Amino acid sequence: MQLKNTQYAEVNTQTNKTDNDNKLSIKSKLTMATCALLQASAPAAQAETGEWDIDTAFLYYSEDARISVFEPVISAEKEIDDDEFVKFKLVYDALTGSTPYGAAPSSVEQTITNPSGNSTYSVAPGELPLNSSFRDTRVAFSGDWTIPLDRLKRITVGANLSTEYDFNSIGASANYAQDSSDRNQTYSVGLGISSDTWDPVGGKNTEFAYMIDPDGSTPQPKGGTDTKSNFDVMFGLTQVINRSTIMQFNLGHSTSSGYLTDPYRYISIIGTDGLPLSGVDLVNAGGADAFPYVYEKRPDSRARNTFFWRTAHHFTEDVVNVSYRYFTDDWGIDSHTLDFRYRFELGGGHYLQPHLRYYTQSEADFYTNSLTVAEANNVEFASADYRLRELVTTTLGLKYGVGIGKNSEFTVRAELMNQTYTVTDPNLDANNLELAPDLDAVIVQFGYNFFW
Amino acid sequence: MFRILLITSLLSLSACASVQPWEKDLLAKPSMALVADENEIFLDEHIYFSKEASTGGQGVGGGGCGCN
Amino acid sequence: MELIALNSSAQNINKTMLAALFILLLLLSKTARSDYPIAPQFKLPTQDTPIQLSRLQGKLVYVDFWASWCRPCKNSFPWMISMKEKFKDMPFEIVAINLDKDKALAEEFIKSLAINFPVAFDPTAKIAEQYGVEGMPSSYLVDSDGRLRIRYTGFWNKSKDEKEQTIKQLLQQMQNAPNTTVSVEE
Repeated sequence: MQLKNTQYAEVNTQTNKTDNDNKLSIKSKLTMATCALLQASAPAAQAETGEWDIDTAFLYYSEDARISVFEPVISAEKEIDDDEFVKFKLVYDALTGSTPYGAAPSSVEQTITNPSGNSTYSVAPGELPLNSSFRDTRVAFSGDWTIPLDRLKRITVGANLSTEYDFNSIGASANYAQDSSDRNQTYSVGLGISSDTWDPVGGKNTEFAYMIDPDGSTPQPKGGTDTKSNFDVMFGLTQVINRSTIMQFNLGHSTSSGYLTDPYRYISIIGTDGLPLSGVDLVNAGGADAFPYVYEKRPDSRARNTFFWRTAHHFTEDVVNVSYRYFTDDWGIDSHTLDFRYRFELGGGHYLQPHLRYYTQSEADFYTNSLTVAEANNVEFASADYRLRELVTTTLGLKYGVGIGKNSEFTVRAELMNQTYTVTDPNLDANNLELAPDLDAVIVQFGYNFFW
Repeated sequence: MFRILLITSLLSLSACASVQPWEKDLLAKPSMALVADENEIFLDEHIYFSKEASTGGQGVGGGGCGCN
Repeated sequence: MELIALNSSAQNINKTMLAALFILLLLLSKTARSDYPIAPQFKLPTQDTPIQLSRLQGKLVYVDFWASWCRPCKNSFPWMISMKEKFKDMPFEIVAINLDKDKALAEEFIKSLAINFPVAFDPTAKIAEQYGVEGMPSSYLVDSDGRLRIRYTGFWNKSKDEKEQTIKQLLQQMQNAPNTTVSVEE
């Protein structure tokens, strides 16, 4: 006798299991190694009610002869009542080293002003110009609260803030998720907003202004602080495909408006000889104390759309996790991201997980490796930020994890990241110059998760 | 591009079987969470946000044991 | 119901009327009773002797479907243990039916607690399907006539007291009118 549809006394009080909620990413600024991402609760798989599920991780990221990052993170989550969760996350990151600011390599020596605007440094011929006085530390904190509305519905509200000496961000998010009655489907919609403030060292550089020699008498044109705001919406569907497969689909739309330019980055101005602008031409273009670089300018709005798919599949023992993201925006950037993780269960609580990530992106409409004087006078927007190039990032890594006792796990992963670029520059006399050398980086992360 | 992705998604969804509540044992495993290691994804997102021009897209969805 | 003694001739007509009345009342009461479906029978293995639902006829039985990979299922065990202890002198039984495909995982959990009621194994979930289980855990209260009175989907701290009250109420009414099927205020 089947009782599935029997109408008899049904007692279901409130609440609803929240296994994983939809997360919404809030982006705060498009510069190196700093961001504030908002993530809603992914409730503990196994912690008992009233126990804290604590996940700690430490990241070491190091580029070949460029930036290094140390980043510890700790997150703690607890079920405070039936399917009601709170979660906190604290991140600290310290960045050191040098990075390209947009000047193109040249066959002649270059002199460039530091971001602080007080001193200069030299770049040897053929070298990729890097700025080496860049130091940045950041602290970010986020909190989320998941509230069940009934057995199948829940909302998650969150807030986040992030601060570093030249940038602050504050944001909030709300996410609504609903399961089908058999819990084989979850529908969700999330909203996020954030407000970011730039307070650049020495003030914001005036867009398209020429870089001025600090030893000269002309002042560097500067602005003050500036702001931008972001708004995100995301629709998600998670579908159980069969007993061993689950899939997730997300559609996201984000808009940013305000000051989206990088306040420190600049673009090389090239003369008719294919070398950095100099002499009379330079004085005519930028004044007596000018260097052949102008500060960049980006549009004051950006609209982005994403399609994201992820699947997890369980074989006899092993698990594979694959994801794909398609990204497109109104800056002309289209990208594809493929991410693949295969978890080999070694038995006894040990596992080994190789990881492959493959990413391609198209060039931003206003990306340029350099500008002529005429171009600098005519273009509406321009940036030589290498991250807006046509590029491919390939990452290959291996992770090892082991359960310790009943309630904790230790993980370690090591990865190699390589980024290659496709750049053409008709302005430069590029013979023997390596315009866009590869970026190679090493990623090492230690993790320790436990219940307390 | 979005149209192709949406159609492909719908086709893959049609392959679903209805899974009973007591058949969620594999899906309940921590290794089968769509995001099994949240800090790893978070830190990776941070790295690639800083080195590439694309951001976001990820959400952590439902699934798991589907209990209660 | 009352039986009225009557004398002969008028008695025959009245007896027929009475019989009709009796049958009518019986039919009416049967209608009230069939609001509650009969709980599907089962005979399942446990860690020792198999458990059979029909053998528990006359008692209030709390049937719980659970699995070791289900956190709320595991959370409900301390409460079930305390309920069995609280009502140990009453005609109240708990049967926890395990749906793990791998019995070993269930046995490991069972070992960790002092469980004072039988745990049965239904790895193919045949009985769970018959009971129309829609979530994990699912528990059912089966009354002394073997009828399903209430289904609980999920386990919530909020509703522990309410469930206890319901059990108490049903047990009370079983004591007061052991041959009558009664309704419960919910």
